Amino acid sequence: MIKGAWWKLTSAVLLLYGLIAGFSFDVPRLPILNESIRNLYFHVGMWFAMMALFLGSSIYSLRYLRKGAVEDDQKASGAASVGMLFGILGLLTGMLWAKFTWGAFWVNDPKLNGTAISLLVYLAYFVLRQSMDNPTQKARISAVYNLFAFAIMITFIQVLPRLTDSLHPGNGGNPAFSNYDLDSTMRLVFYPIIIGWIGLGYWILDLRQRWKEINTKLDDNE
Amino acid sequence: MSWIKLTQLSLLLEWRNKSALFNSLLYSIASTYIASVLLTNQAGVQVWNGLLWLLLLFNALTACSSSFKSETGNRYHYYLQWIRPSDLIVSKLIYNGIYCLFVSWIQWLLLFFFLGWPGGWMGWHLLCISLGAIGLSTVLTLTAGIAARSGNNMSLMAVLSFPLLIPTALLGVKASILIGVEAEVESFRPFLTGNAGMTLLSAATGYLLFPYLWRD
Repeated sequence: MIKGAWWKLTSAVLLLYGLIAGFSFDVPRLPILNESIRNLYFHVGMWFAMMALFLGSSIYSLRYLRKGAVEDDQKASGAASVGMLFGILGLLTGMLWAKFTWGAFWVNDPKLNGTAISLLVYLAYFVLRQSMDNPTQKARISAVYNLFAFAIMITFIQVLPRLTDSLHPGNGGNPAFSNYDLDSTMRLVFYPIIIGWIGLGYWILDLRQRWKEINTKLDDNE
Repeated sequence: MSWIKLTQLSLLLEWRNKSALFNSLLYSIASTYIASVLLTNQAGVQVWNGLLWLLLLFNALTACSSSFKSETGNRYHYYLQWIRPSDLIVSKLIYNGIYCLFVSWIQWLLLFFFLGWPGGWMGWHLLCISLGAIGLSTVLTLTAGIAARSGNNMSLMAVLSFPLLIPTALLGVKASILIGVEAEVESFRPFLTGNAGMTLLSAATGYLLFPYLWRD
């Protein structure tokens, strides 16, 4: 974990700015999308945070396999569960957005399949962790699964949407949001709030980890 | 023992015993027959391919879930002493690849026999199915190892591997439908190369990660 409070302050300020500016700044007026374009700051930002946390989780798993420190295993599972939280929030905001623009909560789309896979993979990861009692065995085997699943998931998310047509912006010939946002006002909010969401994710992870450490110390004292 | 010897050994043991082989064969026949009865020969290209991949998915799962069944207890400790984990995983990958390839051909022939083939281009179709079967087997080999090391739990195997099998199955079914309706080669070639790439990736990560799994 990063030392100091500066990054927590930065992410809090960026998030606050993003929330206020996201609802009050001008956005491009587009048919169908209308005001729902503001969801970009929340939906996409949460997905960025989720991917950052899943990446962090696999880095901790790799470190556990190389060095074998218990903290790395705790951080790996912690990052995966905070990532899941952001994943579910991103899914809910995305479903709401899809309902207003595509007319349905869920469509059969490569991007959405990628979502389903990543959430299922991490649910399976938690099931695997719960099926074992021996802590070192649990840590090692779940680290192996975490890395294997992450490699397959990332490749799939990167490869498949480029192969097929997708409704989702930025894939299969659909323009990404950079094409709509001609005067770059959205970027002024979009980039800061992404950093804010990622920072918030790591802040939650940091708190969770400290809570775990206190619990272990309390257990040792009893 | 080198990986070649190990592969030969597992193939030989399989050939002498034949129980798993007959199990897969009977599973294929029974499931295909049920499907043909339920569909009453009305399957179009889309349904035919969806059915084939669904049957293939479950068949590969049952075939590969017993990969590490014999490597328990004394045999496990013996292997731990005398065999490098990288040799073991390579032999298992090859063995499961061959096995799933064989099973997929049987499944393909059976569906062809019971339901007929509504589309065209059978050569491309067989290539697509073969690539997919090898792809499924590489993912399933490592998840079988994980399930075996965490206490040989069959339902855990399905939970762990299904999310990871979606990419291969999805690419495969899209390609085989395009082949079935005789689309242009350019339209389905990216799916086939994508599937081959996914197979190489999962084999490589499995090879790198297995030594961490295979120790006490």
